[in-house]
Amino acid sequence: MSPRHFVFYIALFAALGLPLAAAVSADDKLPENTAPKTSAPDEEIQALKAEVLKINRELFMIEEDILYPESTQFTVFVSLDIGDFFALDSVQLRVDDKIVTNYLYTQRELAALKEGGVHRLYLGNLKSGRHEFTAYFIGKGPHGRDYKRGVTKVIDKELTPLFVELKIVDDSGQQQPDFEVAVWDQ
Amino acid sequence: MSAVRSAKSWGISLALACLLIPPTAAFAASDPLRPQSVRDPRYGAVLFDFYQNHYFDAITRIMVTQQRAPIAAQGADPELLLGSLYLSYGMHDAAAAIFQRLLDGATSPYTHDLAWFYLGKLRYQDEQYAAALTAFQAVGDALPAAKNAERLNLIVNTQLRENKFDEAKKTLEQLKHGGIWREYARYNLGTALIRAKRVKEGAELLNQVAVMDARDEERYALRDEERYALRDKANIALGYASLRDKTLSDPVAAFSRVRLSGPFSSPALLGSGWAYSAQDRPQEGLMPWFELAARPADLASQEALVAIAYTLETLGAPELALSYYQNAIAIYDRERATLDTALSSTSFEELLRASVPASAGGDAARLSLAANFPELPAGKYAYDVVASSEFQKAYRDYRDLHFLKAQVARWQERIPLLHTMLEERRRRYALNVTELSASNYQKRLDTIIAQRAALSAEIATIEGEENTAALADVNERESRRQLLEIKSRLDALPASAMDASAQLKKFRILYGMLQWQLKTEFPQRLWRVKAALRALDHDLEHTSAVQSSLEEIVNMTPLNFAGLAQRITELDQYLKNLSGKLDAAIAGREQYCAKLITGALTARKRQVETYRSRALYAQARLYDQLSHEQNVP
Repeated sequence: MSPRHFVFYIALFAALGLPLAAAVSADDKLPENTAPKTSAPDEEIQALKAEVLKINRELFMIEEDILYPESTQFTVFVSLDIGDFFALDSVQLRVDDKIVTNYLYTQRELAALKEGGVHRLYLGNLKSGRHEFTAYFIGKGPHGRDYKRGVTKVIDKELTPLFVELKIVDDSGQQQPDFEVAVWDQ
Repeated sequence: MSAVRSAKSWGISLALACLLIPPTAAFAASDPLRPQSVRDPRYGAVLFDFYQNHYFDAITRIMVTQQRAPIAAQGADPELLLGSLYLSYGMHDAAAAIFQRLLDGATSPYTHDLAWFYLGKLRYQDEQYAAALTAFQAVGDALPAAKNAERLNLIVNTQLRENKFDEAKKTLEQLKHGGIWREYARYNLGTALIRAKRVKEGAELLNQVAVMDARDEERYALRDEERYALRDKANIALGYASLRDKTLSDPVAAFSRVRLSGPFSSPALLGSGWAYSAQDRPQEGLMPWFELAARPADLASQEALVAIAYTLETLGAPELALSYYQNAIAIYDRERATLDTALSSTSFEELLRASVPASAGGDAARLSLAANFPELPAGKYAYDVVASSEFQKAYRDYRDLHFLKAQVARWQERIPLLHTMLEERRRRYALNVTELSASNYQKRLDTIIAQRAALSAEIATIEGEENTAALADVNERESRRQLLEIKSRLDALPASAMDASAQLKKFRILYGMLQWQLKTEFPQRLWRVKAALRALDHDLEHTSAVQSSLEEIVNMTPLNFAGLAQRITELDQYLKNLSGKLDAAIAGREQYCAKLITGALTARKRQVETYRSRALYAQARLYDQLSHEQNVP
């Protein structure tokens, strides 16, 4: 083979093989993010991952059971529907006039809320009986003005877990944000 | 090579290697399956984690809710999401089990299609192409358009794996509006056809990817690196194919469409030089090679060195050619030394360890291999192996295992805390039980129940006797008492004292009015009293239910404490074993990745040595030629 041909074939290989290898591998391979056929180490790793996830779930539940028994468990969620009239900064939550949490949202969290995610704002314990629950929403309202709104609800806690969802919704008619409270009994 | 450039090169190589089918993109926020309507906030909380790329947390939440109280209101969505997340974690068996379960159950067309789609992807990734094709073809028409385009692209790839080129072409025809997936399918089919010697058909498809008109340019904004990188690669493939087959389009034009600032400019410059050379324009061909030779040494630039020397020789400048060969040999020597040093002194295992961040890799980090990957000595030679699916999968497993190890370590640290928390709860429980006993709540409740029974009997008597006075209110009772007292006083007056007939008449009228009022309102009053009794019954019923729950809690809690304490102790041991297994698996993946890198560097060293031998041979030949010319009178 002449040097010219030699270099030419190297170049050809470089073009058809190497640079394309990133997305389209060499001749014996097709483009794909392919995994090799399931091998023994692969199966072992899959089994290990499954084991870790299972034990993680169990420990997570044990921790919850210890810290927040079902009989007193009280969870507060925050959701955002559209959110054109309100840019949420933070939420303060009071139960029976005691502040139980202040939460400042990051941009990433706000994006997740806008996508349809629901933030678990608070997980705690509440004795059974009647309680007054107040949430203050702080952020920017219509026209970029500082905005703070509170919403209060009296809730009855039974001996089962109680979920409360704070919904920030747009009131198109009023061109204002609206704040709703939904109570979910499990 | 600077770290920045290294990161960029690695990043682009890796991104391109996985952009065809990134498994985690299955539910990526940027590629939603459909608007996620949240009907249960617990599912919303899962999505909240998922949208922030906290996949591990999302998996945990779904698993916990499934165990406690499944999210029924969301239909198959949680299961689909879990399957997709398992897929992203490389847990194919677990993911397949979920999708199969969804298919076995009665599902909506959407769930049915999506489950088949993911099963197809799984089978494809496991290289079970016949099964993959069956799964993809079982998909109906409920898949969103973007997912369907991805499915068709995968069908094309599956058919190419089995060398069914004509069938792949037919599938491609269905991808008329497939966006980027259509471009991939064209590219994949184009290169496959060229390799199968169906050069013209392949080149035609590549040309469709390689040339972007103004409208395309506008459509694919500059930020769309994926589309531009694909165009670059198509042009390179087209250029080299055209070099091999003179009947195709001008290779120079193809190479010149590759972006000079892009990651594929080096092979394009190399090819460009050869394209000019093939067109008997060697002097023009030297320009791209000079540009290439001036760049930091990479695969293409090393090849350019010999190409320059050879071209100069053919242009009748043997002295200059000789100096370029000498220069090339010096560079190859340096590269060989660098590779030797890298191979002999570097522990790739250590470098891999350094690539795992202190936080052991957040979920997001694990998806961008380039983000923290160390700069390898002579690492440019390992780009291709690092970009290979084999390495990527092993490295992804490696990072996943590290992440999971960190989770296990976190729980190991918290085990003593769990015991402490449990002890505290036990203490509080004992305190509460003591307080409860002291409150005599049962006795008080029994008293209330007895009072209620007496009240019920009294009401029955009042009703039976139509005792209207019994249902008089406070004012009426007082009026009645006063009237009766007046009456008794009037009755007690001696007859001689005064004439009380007028007062007695007034008494009769007033007493009669009161009696009339009590009598006429008796039914309503009786109804109200009975209603109050029913309300009391309801409250008592509720209180009894609370009491039962409380008793159950009081009775069960000590058992729970014992069970929890025992389980925590067992899990502690389990975590220790798991940690050991994870260490072994991590070491295995580490060695495997290091072996792949070492293998790539060794192969590259052999290649450099081959270049060097060729250059040495050419140098010797030129020496002979020049000395012969000098000796010839």
